[in-house]
This record gives sequence, structure tokens and C-alpha cells, in this order.
Amino acid sequence: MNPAAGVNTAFRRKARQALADPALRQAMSRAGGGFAGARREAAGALPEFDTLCDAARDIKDHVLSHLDLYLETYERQTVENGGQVHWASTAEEACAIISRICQRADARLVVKGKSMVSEEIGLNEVLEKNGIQVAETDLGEYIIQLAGETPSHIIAPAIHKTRDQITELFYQHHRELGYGERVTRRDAIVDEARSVLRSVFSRADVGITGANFLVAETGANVIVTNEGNGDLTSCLPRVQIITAGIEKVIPSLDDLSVLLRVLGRSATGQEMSAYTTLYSGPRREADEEGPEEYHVVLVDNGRSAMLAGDYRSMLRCIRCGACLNHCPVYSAVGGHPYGWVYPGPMGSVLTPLVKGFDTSFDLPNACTLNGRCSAVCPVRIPLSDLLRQHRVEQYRKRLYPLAGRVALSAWSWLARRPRLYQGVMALPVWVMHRLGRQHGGLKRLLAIPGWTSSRDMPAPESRTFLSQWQTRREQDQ
Amino acid sequence: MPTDRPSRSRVGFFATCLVDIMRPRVGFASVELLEQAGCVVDVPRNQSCCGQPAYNNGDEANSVAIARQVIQAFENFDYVVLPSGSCAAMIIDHYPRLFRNELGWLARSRDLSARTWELTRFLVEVMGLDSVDVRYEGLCAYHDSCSGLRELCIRKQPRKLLSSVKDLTIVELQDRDVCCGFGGTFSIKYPEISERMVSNKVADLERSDADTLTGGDLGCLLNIAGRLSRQGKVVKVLHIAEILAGMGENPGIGEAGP
Amino acid sequence: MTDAREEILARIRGAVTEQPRSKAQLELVSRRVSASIPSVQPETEEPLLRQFCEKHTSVHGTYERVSDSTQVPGAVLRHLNAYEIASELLVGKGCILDEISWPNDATPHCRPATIEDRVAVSEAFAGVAETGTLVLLSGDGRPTSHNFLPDDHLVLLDAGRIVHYQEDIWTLLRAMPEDFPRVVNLITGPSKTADVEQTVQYGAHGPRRLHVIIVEG
Repeated sequence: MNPAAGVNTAFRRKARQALADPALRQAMSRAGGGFAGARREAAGALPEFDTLCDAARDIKDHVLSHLDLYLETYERQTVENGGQVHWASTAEEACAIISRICQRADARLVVKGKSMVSEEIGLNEVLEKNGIQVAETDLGEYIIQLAGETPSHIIAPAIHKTRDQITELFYQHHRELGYGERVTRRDAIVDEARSVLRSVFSRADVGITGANFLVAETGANVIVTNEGNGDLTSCLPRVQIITAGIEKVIPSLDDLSVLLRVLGRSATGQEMSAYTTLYSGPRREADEEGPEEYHVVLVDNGRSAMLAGDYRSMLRCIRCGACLNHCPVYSAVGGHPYGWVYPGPMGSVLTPLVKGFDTSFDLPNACTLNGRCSAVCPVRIPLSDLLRQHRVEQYRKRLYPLAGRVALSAWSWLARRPRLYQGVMALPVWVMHRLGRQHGGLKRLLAIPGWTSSRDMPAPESRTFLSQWQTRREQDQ
Repeated sequence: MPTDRPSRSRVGFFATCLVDIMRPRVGFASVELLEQAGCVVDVPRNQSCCGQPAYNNGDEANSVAIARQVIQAFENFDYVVLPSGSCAAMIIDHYPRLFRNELGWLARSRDLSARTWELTRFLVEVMGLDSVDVRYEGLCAYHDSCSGLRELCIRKQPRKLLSSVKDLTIVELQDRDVCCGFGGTFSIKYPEISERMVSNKVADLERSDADTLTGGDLGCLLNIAGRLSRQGKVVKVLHIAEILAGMGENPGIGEAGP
Repeated sequence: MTDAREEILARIRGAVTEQPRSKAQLELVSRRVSASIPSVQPETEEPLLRQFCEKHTSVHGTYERVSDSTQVPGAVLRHLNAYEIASELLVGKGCILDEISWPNDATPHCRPATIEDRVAVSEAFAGVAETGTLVLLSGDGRPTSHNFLPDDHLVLLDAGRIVHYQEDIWTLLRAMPEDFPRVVNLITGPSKTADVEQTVQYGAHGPRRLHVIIVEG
């Protein structure tokens, strides 16, 4: 058995690059404090916040244990509203469904509001292969689309970009559209994006968004945004498509209000986003505008498998991003080392479950289990416990490198034999003490270069506590 | 003997492997504090490690084996006290989870959990200690180790005791609830990320002007002291037991000396 | 795609229930959906109008209070003049709006918005004091594009239709004889983004300015 089988070193390499990137450090330090501080303020200003989080968790748990029934109810209502509901077990199926809808509509141009699920299923690539142009309209998604990159944060996809980088991107890509100057001021950057994308909205044949929630009571999809692009995407084109994970359904509008109260505060410290919209089906007779077709694509892609095991609580996730914003590892390395759509703690839980444990080996391990993520999760997902559970899976699958497993097993073997452990530790402790006592610490420890590459190792005393205690006891008697 | 005098609590002291190997004086300071508070302290010989390294690296079998041994070694004490939030949390929160499918051991582990305490919480909440009669002159920052903070709600108790130390002024770190980057084996498996995190912690410490750093978890303190020393910065790092037991004059963690 | 539907539902049922779904469970879900009630709501004792105005202002919205609907055209023109906007207005339908006679120097249009339109005047279905939110419904004469395409969005709000909590809106909507409209917009302040260096900018894709005219008569 190859002990190094399936270990993917992309995380380490990308993390190293990220740590050495001063522009990224500047961008992340600006962001890290911002979102966390905003959440703290917003949560602190609401005495009912904790109770709301408990209620949000309970709503989600209730739905998950009755997921089939709520999905059926939601589907019934949506169809009654004149909408069409499609079900996709896999990413490929979902892309095929959406492609077919676009082809039947003779679509040339698709506009998108932000949809993490659409990234998850790799939709843009499939549509483009079918000769359909895809335009992201969320400003952050637009920026990374121009840069040819993947999102590095689920709420702020371009969080890793500095203003200078954005200025350059716009200059390179907008010149041919007639924008000849570099815009450096933030408001000018936003204005230029607004101007460029407006014409895209009006020309698009199909609009695709995600859904923050699907309300079973009325058959509505809910989008929560600040820019307004999600709504333009949902209203202007002839065809509206919503991509949503099956776990997005909630029972009623009252449940929606509870979840909205914790979502905005947890994500960006807002009580309410600028635009929270409920869409129910295609245009009605009395409407002078609006899509003629309304399609909801319910995506499984591994979610139903999570229901059955230790990971069900992960399906409560409302994609607020609070865990990312509070994770010191994510703050240090940014989103790209996580290698897929979802970064940070929630990504480290989801990616191995959807993409397999062997290709995402580092994700659950690059974590100190400090628990800050779990503490801020508005639906109380025990993220660090789930990450530890991943480590149990990895251990069972023998994915850990041999050297590490051997060392830890040796330690455990010793620990299970306390007298032997005490005897064995005497010599190395004495040696380390002798080597380090002059300076108080050791600069190099061949056995653990990872420590001494950046830290000294404080020197121990000449004898262990247990050995000294034993001596004192014997002396006392 | 007066009949209303409470019988003295029998405490089993679990030194933890880091204290045992890297800084025994923390163990002696802890025992002294416990005895001064009125406890009868014993250190059972059959102790080594609480099993966190195995547990946090996915090795359930060894975690269970080590836990059984700890449960047995500490079966006969009124209380079990550890000078470490993470090791105490391991026993209190996580041992019962290891035995979720074994009813007999589950009961025994729950029994142990109910008797297990981190040192400062024990002194304040069980023994009713609200001050210590020692002196330490310094501007002192307290590092809230993650497990202790989040799993055991240790925050006010150490500060209560520290604030009673004569001539000691407590200063709070701005990012005091952010991990220092130790995380056990994380610090050697992901050294560059750990380095960034501990460097941030050191920068936060510098911003506070503290001349002393203390805390309740030796792993974190070794990590931060090691980085301070490598960067040539002079902040004295001590385990809180050392300060509270009046041993603050001794060399700090990573400093040369006896 | 019935196969995928059946497969997914089967997988879900396999994971969450050991028996086939019982009548009692179906009823539980049905009741939960149709007879739901508000759960946890933030407590406040502020008067609704004042709370609405404070919250609206805190998200970069502006407002003017007028005593009755005759004052509305004046308030609209004041806003246009303040920002030097030509008085070509998109105007939606509503109880108050339908009764307004616009002066000669304002040209109202009743049609969906285009990217050239600068101003739209809408009438809110209601307002929510809890968050300073306006509720706008799609429908005859109420194209949703009015709420998003123009640079300036002016919204009339009847002070008597400011409710306390978001859930109160659902109660109002459920009580309507007609079906739920296709679009229910909950709008809180103008369009914004923080995607450039985490600093808030207004007027991302939606309106740069959201001006509420509160009609108290």
C-alpha cells in the first residue's frame, strides 16, 4: 500500500505562494478584520442573536429530517406558479439540463448573478463549449472572470484583488469597448463596471442565479444581494434559471425571516442586504415584463449522501462565509489553496465529501481545530468536529504519510505504557536540556524541522516532572 | 476537630506530557496552588499523555486505548486537575465521545469528565479562591488558548486571579481570540502557516506593550516564546501557575537559567 | 428527468427515515408550511415611523415626509432639482400614485424601464420598521425594472403601511385575495458593493440613490 497515495500537494504549494505574496497579504488583512469586526458589532447589537441562531439551526435540522417532503411541497407550489422544476443527481446532469434549456431558447448570451452551485457544477465551461457566451455580473465574479481565476471567497469572490490589480484588469478588457482610460478611484471603477454590464443585461437571452433559499410555502426562490445584478439577471432576459442545492428548501416565509436575520449579520454585519427578493414563477398576465420561462434546477451532487452519516449538520450551511472570515488559516493563505469552489472551514468539510478524500488531503489537516469557525456559525455547524471526523476517515483510508503515522503510533504506544514512557523520556529530555541550557533554547531540532525553521525550542529542565516528583516523594518518606 | 469543617478534597494531578517533559516547574507550581487552597494532592504514577495527538490525527483506536488508561488511573479522586485547557477539554468533552458505543466505558468516562477541571477554573469555581498573596511586577497579557476558551469557557477565572497579584497590571491583546498557530502537530505539519499565525500573535503582543505573556496552555506558550526568542524580542513568557504560585522571578520559557 | 427525481428522493428517504412516510408526517409538514407563525423577533419599542426613518438613513437612504398626496409632486421635483436630473419620470401604479396630477414640467411614462432611464417613481406595498425596508410588488403597472435600472429610485410610502416586523409583510400578503405576485422586492437602501478593497460604494448595478417620500395623510 502506497502510504503517500492520493496526497495532493497543491494546497501546500499554493499556500506557500500565498504567504509570500505581499499584495494578497494586503488585501486579506484589509478584509479579515472588516468582516469579522462587522459581524461582531451586528451580533452584539442584537440581544436575540443567539436565540435566533438556535432557531435557525432548528429550522434547518427539521427540514433536513423531512427533506423529501419539503422538496415535494416546494416543487408542487413552483409548478402551480407556472415554473418548471428539474432534478439533477450529478454536476454533469445539472449542466446538461441547463444546456438543453439554453439551446431550446436559442440562447447566445447568458448573464449570471452569483451562484456558488453553478461554480460547483462547472457550468460556465460547459455552456461556453456549447457556443454560449457567459457573462458574470456580480462585481467580484466579473473581476475574477476577467482575470481568469476562481473565486477565493464565497461572498466576496475577488477579495484577494487589490485596487491596482482591478484597475489593470479593467483597462486591459474595457479598452476594446471604448473605455480608453485607467480608472483608479473606487467609485470610478464601480461606475465603469456598471456601465459595461448594463448593456449585457439588456442583450442577454437567459439569466441564471442561485438561490439563498427556496420557500416551500409559496414556491419562491429567494436571492439576497447588495448590488442589484441578481435582480436584473432575474427580470430582463426571456428565460430565468435558478440553480440550487437540494438543501436550500425551507418550510415557510416566517422561517425565511429568522434565517435572514442571521444571514446578513453573519456574512457582512448587515441587518438586511440592499435587495432580498422572492421570485415565484414566470411573468404573469398582468406583468409587462419578465421571463416567459422559469426553471429551477435542484442539484444533489453529493448532498443526499451527506444526509445519512456524520456530516448531516453540514447541510445546514447558509453560505454566509462567517467561518472563512474568522479562520486564521484562511486569512493567511486566502481561498485559492483550497483548490475548489468553497474555501475556508466549510470548504474543508465539503470538498472531501464531494470530490473525494484523496484529492483534498490537506484541507482537513491544515487546521488547528481552534473552533472559532464553529463559534461564529449561525446555524451551529460543529465545523472543527467535522474536520476531525475527516481526519478519522483519512486515517482509516491510510492517507497519512507513513513517517508521520509511524511517529504518532510510536508516541501512542509509549503513552499507553506510562512507566516505560517515563523511563524512555529521561534521556532525550536530559540531552535537550544540556544542548539548550546556555541560550535557553535550541535553534535546530533535526527531528522536527518544521518547528525550528521559524522558532526556537525552549529547553526543558534536566529531569521530567514525574521523575522529580517521584524523587521528592521518596525523599519525604 | 470542629464537626463543620469540610473534608479536604482529594485531587489527582495530571501533569500533561508537555508540562512533564518541557517545564516541570509548572507542575510543582500547580501542586503548590492546589495545596495552598486546601487540597490533598496526589500524582498517580500511571500517567503520560491525555491522547490528544492520536485523537486530533484521526487515530481513534489509540485515542480510546489511552483514554481507558487515564480513566483507570484517575478513578479514585474527588477531582482531577490539569494545568492545561486543551488536555482538560480532551477529557471533559471528548472522552465521552470516544466511548459513545460502549456503555460501560461511557459511564466511566462521563464520571471522570464530571470530576475533571482545568487548574484556574478549579481554583476559582470549586475551591472558591479569589486572590493569591504574591507579587509580580509587570504589564502582563493573558493568552486565551482556543480549547480552554471555547470548550471550557476559561476567560474570567485566570484574569480574576491575576488581577489579585500585587504590582501586576493586566493588558488585553487586540486579537486575543485568534489562534496562535500551535494546534499540536499543525505547527510542524504546516510550518509556514503556523509561522504566519504566531508572527501575527507576536505583533499583537508588541502592540500591547506587555512585558510578560502568560496563559494556561504550555503548547501555546512554547510556540509564542519560541517565536519571540527567534525574533530576538524580549517578553517574559510564564505559565499562569508560575505567576500565581509566586515563582514569577524564575527565568521565563525559553530563557537561559536553572 | 423523472429518474433523477425518484433517485434523489429515494436517497433522501433512505437517509432520514426508516419507514415510509406516514400520514401524520405529511400532515405535520403541511401544517408547518401553511400555518406557520413568527418565531424569534428583535424587541424594540420605538415608534414605527421613527424606527423606519432611522434604519433607512443608516443604509444611505434619504427621505422626506409630506402631509398628503398633493405634496408628492413637489417632493419629487425637489429631489430631481437637487441632483439636476431631467424630469422624465417612469411612474408606477399605486393608490396614491394613480391620484396624482403631475405638473407640466414633469413628464411621466408608464412602461418598463430601459438602461437610458434616469428616474423611476414607485409606490411601496408597505415598509418594515425593523430594518428600514421597502416592500415592492410586481404587477400591472409595476414593472420590477423600475426598481433597478434607473439611477434614482423614488418610492412613495404610506406612513400607515409601515409594519413592525418582516413577518407582518407575509401576513399582509397571505391575506390578499390574489395570488402572490411574481416578484416581492425587499429593498433596504440603494445598490452597493464592497468588492473593491472592501470599501462600500453605492450604485453598483441598481439605483445610486433611494429616496423615500413618506405620505402621512
